[in-house]
Amino acid sequence: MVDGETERIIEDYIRKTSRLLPDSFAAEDLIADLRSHIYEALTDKIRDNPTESHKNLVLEVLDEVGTPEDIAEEFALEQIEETEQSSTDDRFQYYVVRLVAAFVVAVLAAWVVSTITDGAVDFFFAVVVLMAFAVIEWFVRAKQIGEP
Amino acid sequence: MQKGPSFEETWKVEFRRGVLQYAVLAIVKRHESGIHGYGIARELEQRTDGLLQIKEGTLYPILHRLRKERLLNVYDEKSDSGPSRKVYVLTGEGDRVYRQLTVLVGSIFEKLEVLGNG
Repeated sequence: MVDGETERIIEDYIRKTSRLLPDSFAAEDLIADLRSHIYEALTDKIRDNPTESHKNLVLEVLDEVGTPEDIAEEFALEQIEETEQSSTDDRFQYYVVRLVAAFVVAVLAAWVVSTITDGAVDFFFAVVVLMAFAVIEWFVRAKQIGEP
Repeated sequence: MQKGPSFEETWKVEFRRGVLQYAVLAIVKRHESGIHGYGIARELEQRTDGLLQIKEGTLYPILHRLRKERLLNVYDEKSDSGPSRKVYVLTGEGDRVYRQLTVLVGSIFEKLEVLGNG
């Protein structure tokens, strides 16, 4: 339906927005909604302006959808309101699950790297480095979206 | 020299933000069989003469919030234009909250009118 360049523009936009959102099911849900919204709006515009280039039309659509920063800001506002209502226990549970998930991924990735390199990369060293990256990424994202 | 948005602009943004959730509930209620996000964005713009027009992407965090509050339900529907899309319907609780808010909004505007007429 849409050409390769248009698809690339959409995926770039989706990627930029994803980077500004936290790792959560809610954010994944939002991204899925955004993608279908963009395609739907684009299809409408193509139908109304069949001679116009898809690239111009998708840029119009993305302008109407808003910048990734607009969306992340609104998402953070809604999350803050929700968080204020949720209990401390829920928040603690969320952070523990998130930390455990990051640890499991780091261990698996370290094991793969260590195996592939025949032990040239030390397993425990790789785990520590990957966990450090996970924590840094966590802080950067939290700062970007104003998460506590 | 004026710095940042004026009082009037800030007030408009805050007021609009406050009524947006109510307006979304009102639109979803109009569609018993459900409506997708793109449709809600279109109606927000058209039925309010652009008064409640928002950047369309910022609608989805609001929809997510209303879902979490169990005021809206959602189901997936195949779309001809690309990925499947979510269709939003009002829950029983959403309908109750909407009716309650409608009464409240009506009362507020009635009292404001009285205040304005001095």
